[in-house]
Amino acid sequence: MSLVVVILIQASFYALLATGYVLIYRSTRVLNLAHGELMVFGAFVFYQALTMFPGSPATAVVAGLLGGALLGALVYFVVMRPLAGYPVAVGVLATIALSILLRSLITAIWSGQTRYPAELLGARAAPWDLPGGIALTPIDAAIVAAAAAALLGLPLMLQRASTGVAMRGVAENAVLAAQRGINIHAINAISWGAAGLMATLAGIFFAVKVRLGPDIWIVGLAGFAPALIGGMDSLRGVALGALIVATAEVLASRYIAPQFALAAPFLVLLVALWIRPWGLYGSREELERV
Amino acid sequence: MKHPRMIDAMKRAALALPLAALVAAGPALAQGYKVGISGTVTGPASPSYLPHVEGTRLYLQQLNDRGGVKGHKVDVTFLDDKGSPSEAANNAKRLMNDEQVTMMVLMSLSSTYQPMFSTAARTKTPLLLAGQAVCPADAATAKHNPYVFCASSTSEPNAAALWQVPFVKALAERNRQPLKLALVATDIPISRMGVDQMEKLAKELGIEVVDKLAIPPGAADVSGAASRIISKGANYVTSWSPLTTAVQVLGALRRQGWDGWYVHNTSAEAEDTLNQLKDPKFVMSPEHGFTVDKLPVYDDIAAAVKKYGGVSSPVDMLGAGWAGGMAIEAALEACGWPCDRAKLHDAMYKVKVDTKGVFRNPIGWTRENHAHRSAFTAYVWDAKSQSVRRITEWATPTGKPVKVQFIQ
Repeated sequence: MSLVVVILIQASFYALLATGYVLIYRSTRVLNLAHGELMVFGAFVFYQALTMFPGSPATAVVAGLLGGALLGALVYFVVMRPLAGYPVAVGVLATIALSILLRSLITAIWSGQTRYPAELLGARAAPWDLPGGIALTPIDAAIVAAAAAALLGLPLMLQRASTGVAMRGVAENAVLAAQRGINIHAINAISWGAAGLMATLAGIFFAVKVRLGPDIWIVGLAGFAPALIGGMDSLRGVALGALIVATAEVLASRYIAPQFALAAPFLVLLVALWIRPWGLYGSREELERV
Repeated sequence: MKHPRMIDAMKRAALALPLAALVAAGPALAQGYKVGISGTVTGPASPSYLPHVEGTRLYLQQLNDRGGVKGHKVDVTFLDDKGSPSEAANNAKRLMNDEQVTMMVLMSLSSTYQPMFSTAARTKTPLLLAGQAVCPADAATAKHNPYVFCASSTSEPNAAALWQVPFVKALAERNRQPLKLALVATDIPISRMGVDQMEKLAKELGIEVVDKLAIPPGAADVSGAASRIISKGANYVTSWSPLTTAVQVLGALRRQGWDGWYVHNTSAEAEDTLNQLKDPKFVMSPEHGFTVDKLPVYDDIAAAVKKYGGVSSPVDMLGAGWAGGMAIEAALEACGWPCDRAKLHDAMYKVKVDTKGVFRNPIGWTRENHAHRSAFTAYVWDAKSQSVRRITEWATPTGKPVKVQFIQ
């Protein structure tokens, strides 16, 4: 039973990360390889705010999310928008350059020192002992709740809200959307901003749960496999992709060896791509377009 | 009004430049001893190595301000290897061909050793391993590279095991608990080697090793590994690895309700981490003295930080790098002036450096033994006094398991 909870928590974290990849891919067809750096930047803004307003963690969270979202939107306007019309590969290469730039910037501003925001938050509480030998910490519960909210809320927003409908329109056919009077650059910036926000949320959770340092950008890559398995353009696929990856990792770690934990999801990914190259919930059309 | 934390962050951004400035200023300090330092200043491993580079830079800055060695400045070239073997190879080439240094200093991951070591041997240039660079396992044997000398805070894996395994055993005995030990490595060669050595010794000492695992570097979540450790019934875990692995595994264990003891080896960030985590069952087992021991040398370091700035790490992380600077000074002093590579190599055997408590034993080498004679101790967060506290006397392994003495 406790293993199921471990998988659920890990899957929730991966889902938060994968959502960012999907949001950006849906809107601009770019695989954002700077997602981990967006995550670290937002988490550091959160930490900075936490040290400035130690009595108000909510302010720090809002500041971090805002910082991540603004950086995401800024990246779209400064880096991605000028590349509109170029092959998708150019955009991907630009995100690699961006990742290196952001990494240097983060180290220059906040240094390489490792931080433990949990202590500032007083969040390193003992886990709750639940029936069935389950141990659950408040931060883990928050991760599961946040992932559930994101996975239910985002599709709902895309279905019901006018901005969401515009996002879907731009994702489906940007030219047609523009002809219908939709400001596609504003909509794309919102998608990038939302991805920055999701990345930051994951970053804050990782920082509070484990640690914060410029080197944790690599954790951001963990959202890549779930997004691919679920389908790069499918928010619905994120949940299943994350669950599959987390299950493969935890079981490999527990019953084979932790060294296989990183390889196991990619083995699953290879099999999944072999069966459905466009992902479990991705659309075949998107694959052909790429 | 700007908030002090924001000012601090801005200062850090501004102070990241002096290292580059020092590189640029290198040629201006002509007619000095030429020393080249290759270290991990940026990249994923930089949090563990940058503090040492900064500590050495500070020491050499104040040394030059004091007039240098025998009236000659120490002309230092700092190069960043980003923890990458190919960058280290480029640095070795540049230090030899362009800078023509008399001495190389390496403060980096073990994966960068091969190109630097082979260059040192080929050009017959003394190479000092400083900071946290792990001393090679053969440093104390006849097989050692004759040009590589250890002055670092991480001894070769054999010596570390001779301390850490008996320490865990003694700790369990002191706590009157049966010992079921899990060993944790990072999935890199040197860490696995260290843990293999610990496993061998643990078996010799009759300790029940219930699991041994290697965590991939950069793993996003190690909950599966933690669940495995718990399922095997381990009540003590010990690691010989980069600190990031230990912190991640410990966190995952605690989140699953594990209440055992975790003993980790040395790290520049050890004291800072204990202060931040405040976990009373997380023991750091370093080879350098912490600031809580009130060593006057840390006052010197703090004064240098205040005077020269350009440092992003707290004072408690700078000790091993500072000691590396002391070793450089002692070697150049022994070489005299003028100093060339051959003369310096001979002079290395005359060196005996008292690091004023950063390391317990003086740094010195013989032709047969290029290891740093390490001493070990243990620190833990004391919930009662709300501070870090040393819990054992210092111990120096001499080829057999040490006898651990707890401070009452």
